[in-house]
Amino acid sequence: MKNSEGKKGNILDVRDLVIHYELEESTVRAVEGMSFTLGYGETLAFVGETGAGKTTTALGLMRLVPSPPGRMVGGEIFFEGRDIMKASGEELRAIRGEKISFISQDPMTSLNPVMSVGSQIAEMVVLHSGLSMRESRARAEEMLSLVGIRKERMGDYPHQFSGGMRQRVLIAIALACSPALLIADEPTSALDVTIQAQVLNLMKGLKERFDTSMIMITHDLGIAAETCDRVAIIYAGRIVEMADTESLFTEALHPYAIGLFNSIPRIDDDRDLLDALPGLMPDPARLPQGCPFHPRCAHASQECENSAPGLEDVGNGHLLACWLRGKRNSEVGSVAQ
Amino acid sequence: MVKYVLKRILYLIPVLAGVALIVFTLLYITPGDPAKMMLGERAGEEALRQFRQENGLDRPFFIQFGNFLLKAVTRGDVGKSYITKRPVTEEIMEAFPQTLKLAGYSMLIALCVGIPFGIISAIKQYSMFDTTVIILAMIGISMPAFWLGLLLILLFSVNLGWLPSSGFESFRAMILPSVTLSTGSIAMLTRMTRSCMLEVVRQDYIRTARTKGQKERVVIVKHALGNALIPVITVSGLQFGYLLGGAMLTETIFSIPGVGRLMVNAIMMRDFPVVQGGVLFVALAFSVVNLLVDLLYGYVDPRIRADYK
Amino acid sequence: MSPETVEASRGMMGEFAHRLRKNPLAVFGFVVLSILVLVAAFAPLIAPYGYSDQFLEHAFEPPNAKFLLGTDEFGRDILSRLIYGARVSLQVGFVAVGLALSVGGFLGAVAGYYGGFCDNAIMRCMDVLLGIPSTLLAIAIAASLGPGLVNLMISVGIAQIPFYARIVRGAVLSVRGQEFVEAARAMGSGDLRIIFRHIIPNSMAPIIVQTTLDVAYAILSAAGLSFIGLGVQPPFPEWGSMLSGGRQYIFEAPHMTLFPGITIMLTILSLNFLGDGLRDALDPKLRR
Repeated sequence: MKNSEGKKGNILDVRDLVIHYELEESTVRAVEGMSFTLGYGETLAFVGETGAGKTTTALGLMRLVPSPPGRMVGGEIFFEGRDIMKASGEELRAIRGEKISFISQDPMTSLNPVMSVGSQIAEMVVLHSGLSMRESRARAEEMLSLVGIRKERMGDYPHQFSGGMRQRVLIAIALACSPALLIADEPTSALDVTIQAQVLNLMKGLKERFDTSMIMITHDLGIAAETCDRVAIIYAGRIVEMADTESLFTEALHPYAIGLFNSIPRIDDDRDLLDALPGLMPDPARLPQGCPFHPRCAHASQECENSAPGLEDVGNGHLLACWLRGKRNSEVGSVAQ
Repeated sequence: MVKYVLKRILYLIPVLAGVALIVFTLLYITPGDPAKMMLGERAGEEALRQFRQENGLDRPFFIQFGNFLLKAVTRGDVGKSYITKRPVTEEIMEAFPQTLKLAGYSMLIALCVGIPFGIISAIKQYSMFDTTVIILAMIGISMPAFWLGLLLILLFSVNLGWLPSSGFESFRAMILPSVTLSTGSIAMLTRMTRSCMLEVVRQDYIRTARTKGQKERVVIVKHALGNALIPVITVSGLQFGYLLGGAMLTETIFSIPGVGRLMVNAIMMRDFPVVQGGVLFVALAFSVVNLLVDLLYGYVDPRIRADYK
Repeated sequence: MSPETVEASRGMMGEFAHRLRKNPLAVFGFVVLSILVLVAAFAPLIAPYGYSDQFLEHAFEPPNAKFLLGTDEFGRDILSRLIYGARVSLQVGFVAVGLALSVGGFLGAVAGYYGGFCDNAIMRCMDVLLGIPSTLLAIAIAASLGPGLVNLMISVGIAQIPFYARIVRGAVLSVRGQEFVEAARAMGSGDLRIIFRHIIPNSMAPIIVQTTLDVAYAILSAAGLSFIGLGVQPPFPEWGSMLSGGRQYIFEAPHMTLFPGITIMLTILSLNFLGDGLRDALDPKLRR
């Protein structure tokens, strides 16, 4: 069964998603008007710093933002044409795991320490497949060998596995029901560099095999370039720039995106110092007026302080949220080239 | 597994020997002449001297302790009561079933009430129910058990006449004492379960279970509870020990002839061998309970089970 | 000045006090406790009668205008006895915990800081003490030492030593490995200096919480000991022994047990609320 066979258009269409964390003394605007689409079979990267709202968005797509204090304030999430924001608890449970599955950031803490890994994979299968426990365990064994773990280790517990192996188990769980959409939340950031490549390749291969659409959350532009068709740059709870990987990497337009690219060392670099972005991302509980990036932006004008720019197409599906878009060539320049 | 159990039992021996040393020292420093206590104030000097010699009371401290330990281990003999002149072990063994029954009922009540309340309270954190449970649990911990016992007698035996205020044979007679004794443990277990649950539901693996599309009830029972109960088991073991120790006051109030009341009476009559024998015995029971809890712990937590091998 | 710096300037203590104030139960505990301390300190000024003044013609009187909380079997004013009793109970609570804290804390600090054989030897001894349920240990010690205020404090205090040894050792171990201690050592600070300048201040939080909760436990244990006749001797008023004394008259004069019980419970409750509040306010994990 192929997920995207004969299907055109978008598996996911998110419009104006707003998610807040309402704390006693303040409201954290974690996601502030996020809109994007994801095509069948496509891989989209969410790139941004810690605290930019990437994980909250991902959890929001599954309606799993912890509440309280989290609250899905507004927006629409059309998944295969149905609005997830309006789905009932039962409908949501049917979607989670079966249609949309999630691989979390920290393999060390994401597996239940008192259940064998086999049972944890089988649990997913039993929930969505209608198979018996015995058949589900057989399926779990299959999944384990698919991610490169001997099936003899079905009965072992998480503490008996290394971080990379645990991440493989999590991948096996996530893919056990051939989901249409896989959300991977920095799946490799807790792993050693050599293991990272292995896990990424495994995910890439399995994504092809199961023909799954994917959202890859990362703060690593290299991972985005390697694994994704399109990249969305996220800053302070919104997408500031989104384009296919190639055009973003050849021609980043948003000052923040340019800053990100300039902070990566390159082998052909003749700079003595990397250009670090000045300042810090604003506290999402105290976002500045206007464009959230303006306090750090070298090109900020009065307009940037007054109102926030919307995400608009600047040609060829390259989306940008910046007031400078008309004047970029003369004034900003694109250092990334 | 067998090796682990043996290791744990071996580890108990020095602890119990230490406990015996404390108990024996306390007995040794207690004012009063054991020979006079046994033979009576009017015993002749010759008889006293002979008694001391026969019982090794004129030997140095550590020899006496050695003899005490040897007799305790080989014959279960920890001395004779000054009052009844019967072996302390015999008296304790007669009283122990009542104490065990009382502590057992109380433990059962504490588990059956404390754990569910802790779970519900954690799931409904910040709700009215949660706030009420927090305050009630705190009152439960702060309530002196002996006072609660008196209040219960006043209400249920004196005013309402529903339940007997003493006795231990019938189930009805055990209700008030068990409730009295269990209050503190109920409160402790409620608080412990609640805080463990709150800790566990924040964990990533709970989120993993939710992303699988698992029902919330199953997430709580299967994933959260399985993890949260591990520390609760340890606390339960400790609580059982405290119940055995705390039974003293409850048994006194409700006139239950258990080890506790035996010891309280002994304290009032200055019958020290019985007091110290009782302490030694309760410490032994406490250690055995903790050993069992440790083994249970390994059974439920695979991370510890690995250490068995 | 940005909002963040304003918050930083409120300081750690300010932030802590702020969080404590927002907890109504902790505030309740603090207020009741403060009142209790004042009452104990000014007992002779507040109490309507002396603690041993007998009005035999008024024995067993229920609460009335002359004796607000009634009288006991000797016609002594229960309110006055409770007020003087606050002195005993608070004294027992604080002295016993102080004893446990200084001895246990010292042993724990030494064990944690030096580790190895020293650690092993100390902690095995503590295991032995922990092998006896603490109430029972206190009773066993009190039974041998005989009744009396000082013996009561010693008994309750000794029984709590192992808990402090464990807490302080744990705190020391967790602080010992941290960078600032390594840095101090690298700069050539001596052991004592490191312990007093770095380790003790940084392990205070769990100790303060435990102390508050344990004063409550000590008062409760002491009341229990007095109840079975191992506490303070008459005529001096101790809440536990007042309860115990009222027990035989529970049918005729329930107020004799009711009021001492309420007093004990209220005191313990306040300490526990305060201790819990302190823990929440000091625990960074719960900050939101």
